[in-house]
Amino acid sequence: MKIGNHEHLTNLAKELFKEERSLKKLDGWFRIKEYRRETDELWEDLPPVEKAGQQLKIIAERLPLSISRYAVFAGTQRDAFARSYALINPAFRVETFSGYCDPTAVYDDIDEDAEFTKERIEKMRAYDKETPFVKELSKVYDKYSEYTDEVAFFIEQVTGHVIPDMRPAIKYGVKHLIEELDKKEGNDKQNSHRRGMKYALEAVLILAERYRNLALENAEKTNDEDEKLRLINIAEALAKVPAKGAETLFEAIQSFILLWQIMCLEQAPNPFAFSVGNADRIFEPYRAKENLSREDTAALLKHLLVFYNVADRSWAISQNLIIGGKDENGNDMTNETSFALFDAYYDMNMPQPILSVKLHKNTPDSVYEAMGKFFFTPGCLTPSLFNDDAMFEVLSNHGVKTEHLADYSIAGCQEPLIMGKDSGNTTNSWFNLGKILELTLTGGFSEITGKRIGKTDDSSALEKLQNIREKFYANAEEYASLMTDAANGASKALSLLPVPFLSAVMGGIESGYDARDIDNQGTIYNGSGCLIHGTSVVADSFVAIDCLLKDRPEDADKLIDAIKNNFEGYEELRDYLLSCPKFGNNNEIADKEAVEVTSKIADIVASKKNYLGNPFRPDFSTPSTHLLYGYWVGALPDGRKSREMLNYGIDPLHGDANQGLGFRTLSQMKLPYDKMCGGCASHLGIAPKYFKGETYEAKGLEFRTKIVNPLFFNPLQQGISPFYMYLNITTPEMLRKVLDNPKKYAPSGVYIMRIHGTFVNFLDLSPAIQQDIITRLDPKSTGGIEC
Amino acid sequence: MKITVFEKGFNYSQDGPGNRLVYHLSGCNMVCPWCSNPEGMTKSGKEYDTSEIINEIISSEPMFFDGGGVTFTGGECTLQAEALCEIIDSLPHVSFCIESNADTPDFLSVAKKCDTVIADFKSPIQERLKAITVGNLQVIESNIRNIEKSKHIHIRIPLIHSFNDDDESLQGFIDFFSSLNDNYDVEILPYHEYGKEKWLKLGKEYTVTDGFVKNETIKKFIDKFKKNSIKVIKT
Repeated sequence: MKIGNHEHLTNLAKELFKEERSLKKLDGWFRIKEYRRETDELWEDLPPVEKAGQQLKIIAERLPLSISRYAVFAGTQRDAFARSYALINPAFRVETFSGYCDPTAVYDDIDEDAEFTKERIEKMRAYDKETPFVKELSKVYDKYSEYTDEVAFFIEQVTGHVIPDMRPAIKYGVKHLIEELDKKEGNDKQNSHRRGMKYALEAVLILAERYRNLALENAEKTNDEDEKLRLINIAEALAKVPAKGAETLFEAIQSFILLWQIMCLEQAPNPFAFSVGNADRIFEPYRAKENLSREDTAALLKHLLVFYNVADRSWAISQNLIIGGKDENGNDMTNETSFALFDAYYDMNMPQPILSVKLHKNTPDSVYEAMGKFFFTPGCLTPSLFNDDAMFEVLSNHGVKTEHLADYSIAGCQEPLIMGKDSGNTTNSWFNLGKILELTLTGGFSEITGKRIGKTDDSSALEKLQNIREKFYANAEEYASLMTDAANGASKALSLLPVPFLSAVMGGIESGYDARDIDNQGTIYNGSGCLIHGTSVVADSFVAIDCLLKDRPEDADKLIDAIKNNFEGYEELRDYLLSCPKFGNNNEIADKEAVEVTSKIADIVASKKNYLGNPFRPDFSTPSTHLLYGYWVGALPDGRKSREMLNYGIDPLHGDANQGLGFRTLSQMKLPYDKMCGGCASHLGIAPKYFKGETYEAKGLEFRTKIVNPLFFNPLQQGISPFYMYLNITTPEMLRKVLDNPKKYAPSGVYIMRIHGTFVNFLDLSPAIQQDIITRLDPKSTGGIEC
Repeated sequence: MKITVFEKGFNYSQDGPGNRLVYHLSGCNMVCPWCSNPEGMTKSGKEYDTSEIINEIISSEPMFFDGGGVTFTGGECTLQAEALCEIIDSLPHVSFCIESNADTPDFLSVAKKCDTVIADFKSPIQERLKAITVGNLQVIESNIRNIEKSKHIHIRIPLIHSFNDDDESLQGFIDFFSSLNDNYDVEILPYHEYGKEKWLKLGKEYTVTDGFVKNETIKKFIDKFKKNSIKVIKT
């Protein structure tokens, strides 16, 4: 390539990443807030979507820009994010986490200095508090705080969390999209929304022009011939893209980066979990046209991957990139760019963007061979795995058209959405079955604070236990209604912040409606997500109650006192409860109960409608929230003590499955995956010694045989197979060593572990989250036999 | 009927082909000092009714899809031959495997019912075998010879320094294997100390002090076997 060989470009990418991680300050998002404030009045009379489009143009015009001396491409995401406003950061404490109820809490996140004075920050905060969006959202949070304070449920407005389809913009150019918009005619609302989209698309042209000028200016100034060459290359590309269609891989990536940048700026400071989709399919046509080698392709892609890393906040941006999979006819879609991406990821080993891999029964050996080195190199990032064969069935059963199935991808952690067509509001609501069971048992009083929550039930302890299922599901139904009302309130509040740029890459050009509109559906698919917590602790609790009533009816009365006292003074009873059958051991009774809880709760959630009348999507995943929500749940009849974590996703509670991987797999195969259209999460922590292969490639194939095939592609599976898993192939002992001696085991300062749908630098995490990762390796649930 | 098990779980391809549901049965007629499962030497363990085991196998069948099945090992599994036969006969469609020391009178009756037979052949020298393990070479040789007539057998040699890694043993192995019908293969399992901690936990003395075998010795064994047309495999 004219800008240097792949080794040189790789070195630059590594320097660029180092430079990015050394950034300690992010203030672009604050400037954006100020630009918006400054123009709110100016465009007071404009319809909201048009105003949002115009404001994005102002942001593109005013935002300070720079191009690193190591850069190969122009563009950054860093102005779209605040530094630590996220769940998983080193300062995070389970004890003090209170959700994201206050949208102005982000102002605590900027360090005061001479430029960003306290007065300047507080002025902006005060202004924001009076905006219609914040007022509306605050009303919702206030109304439901009785339930959200101790997390019977939680709700949030969903920003980010979709998969834009940038392919037309890259291929035909943004000017072409604007021409398309100009050609469309609709009603007044559509015309207005399309005008807003046009302004928003113009914003990216402004940004490109500014970067081009900056590249030329910097090229004039620099004495470094290599840098000059790269800057001129950027300027040449930006003279063409994203305004016009890309023809080379370089142009395609450059175009994509600026489109992504503007999309994120539109949602600053919360563009979390915007996801790329199948990057191999996006970029392969351009690579193929040039017949670019795998090494050169990987070198350029390394710079794309660095783009996804924002300052030193390597955690929880949750942007996902996916590789592989099949088309709707079953043809494998792996290509040369897929392998170049694997190479780029492995060599860079960065905490962002999250890597996912789609598998199907005919995935070639080469994909498993390529994955071997990820899984078996300690401290290396690992892909999460999706089962296309099952996912296609699930999505198809829930209304996705056949021609759109291949374009499903992952937004954030594990939520499947259709690229460019699906506004899934994935994290809109969070349902805590553990808390609902607690309130059912106590008759509406919190074991944690003693507060009354929801309606009371003064029936006797025995009556409650004898009718526990009926009472629990009735409560779940009632809480689900409250939760979805609240969630819809948050979505309605968020509709006050339209997103015309995003809409333009989510089918809005065709539909003429903003993707957040609450009256007209702007995207082909729409729904709202509900993350369901605590299925197995609830199922195991039901089983334990049954056993107690049968074996020791004389002790039934004691159970509720025991859980109210966190089993203090009731240790023998707790031991008994712990000895009752638990999900995850291929026990018929416990597994059947888990299936029933999962199924019934999924039905309850799916029966609720969102703001557009579309069903809520049951998502059985708990992205660290099994820990947070567990903290607000008292002791339960399965023997789990107060404030301890809930089970993760669809997994058994750690320690409860103790018969090894085979029995656990059998249990998990029974769950009703067809009902999990919002997604599900499962983690396996496996000891490296389980794999005997002598090379990474051999271990990759062995991994398929021992782990993937039994779960994903098992011909004896009844119903739809599991479709998601992530793994950490390590041991608790190893991770303790890393923590004790990071210099020895992670000399680079980066030791990547999977935490849920995302991977993170283990060393950057708070102690509670580090401990959670170690605990959930749960070796007894996944070990081979030790004889 | 009752069956006593001290450990169970799945393992992949180490104890027979594919994914194996492995039952370690309690009790052993040998006393090998390098044993990696010394907890299985006594008859203590969890007692199950054979019907429970049968039901567990049935519910585990989805894991056997790629050629897997059930493996009985130990201890010495054929000491509970009657229970094993009942289980195997109840589940004709399931693939069964035994791992045995081949030193029991009931070895043949169980092995004949299995799809895969794995047997140890610890030493070709009777005095040494008897002195160290209390094994009976004649019984072992006869059992292996007999089963090999009708069924392929996978023979494992736990190679232990100062027990069976000398030239005399090597020649003895070659002589015995060469006298078989070619319906077998051999695997060498070099000495390891995975079980050492278990011995100590059980309050027993671990008496092997010098069991590790040199790499060149392993290579020599493999080379000599191959030269003598003895099929050597690694699982």
